[in-house]
Amino acid sequence: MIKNRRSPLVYYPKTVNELLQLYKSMPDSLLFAGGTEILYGRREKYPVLPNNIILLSRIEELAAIKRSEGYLEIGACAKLNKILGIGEHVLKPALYQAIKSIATCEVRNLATLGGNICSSYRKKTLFPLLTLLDTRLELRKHGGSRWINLKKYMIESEGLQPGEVLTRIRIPFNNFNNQAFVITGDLKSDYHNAMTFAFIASVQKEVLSDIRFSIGFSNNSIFRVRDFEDALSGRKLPIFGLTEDPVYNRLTTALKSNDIEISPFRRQQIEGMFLSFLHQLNDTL
Amino acid sequence: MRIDFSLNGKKVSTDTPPEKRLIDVLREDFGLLSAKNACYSGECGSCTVLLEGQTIPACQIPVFTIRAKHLITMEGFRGTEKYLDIINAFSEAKCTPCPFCFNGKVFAVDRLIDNRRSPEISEIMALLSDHACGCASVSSFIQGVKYAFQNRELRGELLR
Repeated sequence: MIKNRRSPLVYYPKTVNELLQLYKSMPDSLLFAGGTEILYGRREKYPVLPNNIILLSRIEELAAIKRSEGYLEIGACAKLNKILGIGEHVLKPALYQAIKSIATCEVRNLATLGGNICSSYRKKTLFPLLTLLDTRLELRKHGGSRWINLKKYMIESEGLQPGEVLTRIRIPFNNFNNQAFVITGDLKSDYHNAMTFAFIASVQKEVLSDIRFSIGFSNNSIFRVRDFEDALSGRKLPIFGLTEDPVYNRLTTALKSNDIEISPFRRQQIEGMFLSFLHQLNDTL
Repeated sequence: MRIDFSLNGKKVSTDTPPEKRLIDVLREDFGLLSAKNACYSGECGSCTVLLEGQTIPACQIPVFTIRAKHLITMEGFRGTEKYLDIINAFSEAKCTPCPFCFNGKVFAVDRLIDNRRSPEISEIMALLSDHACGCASVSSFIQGVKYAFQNRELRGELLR
């Protein structure tokens, strides 16, 4: 151990109330769930951690997974592999694939959904899809709680406030009967250069009643073109020659004018991905 | 900080800084050298241990997280019939994982064949991609996993 360095004090709350009380009295403490993000790639024998650590994994309520009629409710400390255990038929293919794409099976036995959401670095894996699915988060603090949309959570002023803890994640069940989650590059070995694509669409009686897609970039920003999605929704399938359609300009313009710097190669990749998903939709008929 | 836990079926206690990694505690405080320090990111599988029956990378957790939990390392797993199912199967299939990936592969195969149904090729390949190492051929590994499942199934029938 390094001389003169104080080892952290660890607290093991068993209920959410205990946790909130502790966190209120020690707002600078580290909330430790799976820990995979905290120790990832660090080689020190004694990693420097804050003076006070609150271990969340002993709180059963935070690891619970519940299914109700309208949504799937997942405790923030539910391990990713436990969530996969619910099955692809409940999670639906895109979410199942997205979770499975995270790290190795061993790491998924430690990593939690709440950790993935709270991590400032891992926004590329589940965020693009969870935002499409209208995911809501429960943020609790001593003496109060609030539900917030994931999109709002990403805005700093509306996201986690001092003393707040992410406790539950609510993913509504949906009728999107066509879903895809695609990764270009390798999230495990080359996270920075990989991109994630999430597509979900609902096709009813040969009509594309709803389509949503988003992309996770290397700088952890999420790209989505709502007016392009709206323009496509309600169209009859099959859709051919979309690139000649004026509506398609909304996508290409957004790709060019976006705040995120996208190289021509990436733009082509994104357009190609979208068109290939559209082909898939045409093929479902 | 004093941390009590169960290690390979025995109750043990260690007085160590809580932030010390589990892998270092196992190797330095208990002399269990089967788990190895390699990538420090949980990706290589060389430090895999079983925590409460789940495979986890010991390099990714500080020791305070295992207080009052059950931990099994390869040293403890070696004495079990489950281990023999796998190691005999590997030998039969001429699959010889190197010391670097041995822990990860054996524990992962154990987890896979515990599902009580014959593993599919895609599942074996996914397992292999989690423990990428050039030491054993893909075909021998696939064969080894299939034999391991048969061994376990056979032993299960004998037990019944």
